[in-house]
Amino acid sequence: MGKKVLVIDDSATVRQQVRTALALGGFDVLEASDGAEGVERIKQHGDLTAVVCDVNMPRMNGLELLETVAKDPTRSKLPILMLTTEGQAEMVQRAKAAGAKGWMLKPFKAELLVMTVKKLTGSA
Amino acid sequence: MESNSSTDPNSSGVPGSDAGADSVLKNVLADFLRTACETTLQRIQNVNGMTAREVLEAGASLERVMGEARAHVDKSRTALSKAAGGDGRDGLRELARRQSEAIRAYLGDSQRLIEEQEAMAKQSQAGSEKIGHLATIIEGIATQAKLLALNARIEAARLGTRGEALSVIASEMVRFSKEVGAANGAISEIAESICRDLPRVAAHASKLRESTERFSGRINGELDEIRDAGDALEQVLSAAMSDGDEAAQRIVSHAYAALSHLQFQDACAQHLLSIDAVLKEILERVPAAVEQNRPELLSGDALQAVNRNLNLNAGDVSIFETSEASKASDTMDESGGLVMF
Repeated sequence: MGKKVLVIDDSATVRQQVRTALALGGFDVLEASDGAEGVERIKQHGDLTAVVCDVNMPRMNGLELLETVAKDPTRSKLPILMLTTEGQAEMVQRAKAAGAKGWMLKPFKAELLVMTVKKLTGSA
Repeated sequence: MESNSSTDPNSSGVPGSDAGADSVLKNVLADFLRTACETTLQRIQNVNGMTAREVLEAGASLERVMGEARAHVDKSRTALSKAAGGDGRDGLRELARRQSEAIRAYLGDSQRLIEEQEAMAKQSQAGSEKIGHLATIIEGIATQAKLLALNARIEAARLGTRGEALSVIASEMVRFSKEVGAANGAISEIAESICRDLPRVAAHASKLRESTERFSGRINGELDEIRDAGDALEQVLSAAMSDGDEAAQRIVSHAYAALSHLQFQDACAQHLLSIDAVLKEILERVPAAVEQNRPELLSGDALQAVNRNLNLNAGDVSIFETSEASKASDTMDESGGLVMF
């Protein structure tokens, strides 16, 4: 069994592509389709080693998720990588302030994503 | 969509007048634009839905291909590893080596035992010859004893009654010399028999040794070939495993590339959603401009406002350009749009 990683994105195709890439990298992948579902998954799975999260999603966006997770002392150390089409400096800074560990732009390079998640989970 | 120009109570159009014709034209134009926008929006949704379904199918196929490839690579690797040894099991090369050593050890032991048997046969023959020699000596002693007994009898007869005791001794000596002679004869026969048989035993041992040596010579050559074959097999297995690992890495690399390319659909979807946003603006602004007679809603400034909204609103088209997005943040990594905190 590989390390468990959660991917949160409202796009089914992106979730599938991230899941396939991470599975090829040896990870076990869980999925959530928005921030609210992502928060639930994080609460349910204490053995998560990292989260790959979109920014723009219905119900709860990625930045709100970051801020919600940061308030939970048991999960505030969970590494979260933002994977988004957004590139505005203020968003990047807001994510950094909320505890995100990285910011990756879509379209992403699958190999780079896997390497980054390996680095975040100490598997590199 | 039906035109509502004829039912609009606020319409200032009067049939036959220029103002009325202008109003009708505006309404028709607004309806036409509305219909065109709604049709285009529907098409955009259709295209997005269709491409998403197809890309999901392609992604699922890629997952299946990768699953099959990985299972095949794992299976091959397991088989190769088993043949090469590992996980506490001996490989073919190790088995061949151990068997060779066992056979060589057995042959070595056999040869040594046969040589010892040969040496023992020779020693036994020498011992038998010594026994034969001793038998000759004993026979001489028995003859001497017989002569001595004869002399004793002669002496006893000459002494008469005084020589009776000597006569008894002489008789005993005769009996003794006969018994010694008989025993000696038996020993001589046994010694002769042993002397006759031992050379045959030695000859058999010698033949067995020669046969074992020939067999050892032949089997050693074959064991060397087995060892060489084991070495070659290990090299082949090692190369096959290495090739398999490299092939698996190439497969993963191709899969990563395919996954990267498959993201074109998400990019296209975002671009189409931005068109969707523009059309929604048109749908809101054109009817309002016509109905409220406010052409400024359709001015270039108004369009620029729409464009600015596209730039600023989350998920719209301008921020979807990776290079533009990278420029938007001076903290963004130039290679691959990644920044680590």
